[in-house]
Amino acid sequence: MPDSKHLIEGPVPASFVSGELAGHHSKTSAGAHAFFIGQVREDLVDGKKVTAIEYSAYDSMVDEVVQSIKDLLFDEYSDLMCVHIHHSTGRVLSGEISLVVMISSGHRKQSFAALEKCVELIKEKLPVWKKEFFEDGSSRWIK
Amino acid sequence: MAQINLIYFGSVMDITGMPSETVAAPETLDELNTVLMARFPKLSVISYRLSVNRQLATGNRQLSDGDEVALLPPFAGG
Repeated sequence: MPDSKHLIEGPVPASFVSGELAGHHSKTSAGAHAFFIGQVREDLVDGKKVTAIEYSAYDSMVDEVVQSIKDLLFDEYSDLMCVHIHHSTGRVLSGEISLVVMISSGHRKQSFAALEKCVELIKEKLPVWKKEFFEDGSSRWIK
Repeated sequence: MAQINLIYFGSVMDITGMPSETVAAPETLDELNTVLMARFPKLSVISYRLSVNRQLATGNRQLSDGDEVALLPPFAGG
């Protein structure tokens, strides 16, 4: 099991998204929930299909970085109410979900803006690495 | 003798051939980098950053007994 509350071993189940949403019905002052759902894409590289991505993470740094991302977002977006980030570690097959971000705010505009900013910050700051696996069994690190 | 814990990730781990190790602590991060480059010459052809106790760090950062130093290739989350 990953040593971070933001990491999930294997793919994020689609039901996780509805679970997150159901968990927020008591937050009645929120008027908007925005989701980003990242899926492993079956890229074609030099004629070979990507069948899976294997994620690895610096578990104990992930929680600290997620907190710093949240701090940045709450500083910038005054209407923001909550931010939830869940990322896979281990193997995720093409077509499966590897990242779920949920942003809640009072009104829609800041939920869209904060969601995009949040995903960009995850790409830039989260200590996660990925290795692509191809149909012929070969693999490579993605930079 | 002061010791530090080294953790290797991603393409760095392929080069070092191990996920982590404990080594005698050099005085600074720069000195550590020199030692690592000598042990693992292929590190010079990839890009990576260093963190000390889960904070990105550079240059003449002093190292202390028990520090956790990680070699971090470019992040690729999402």
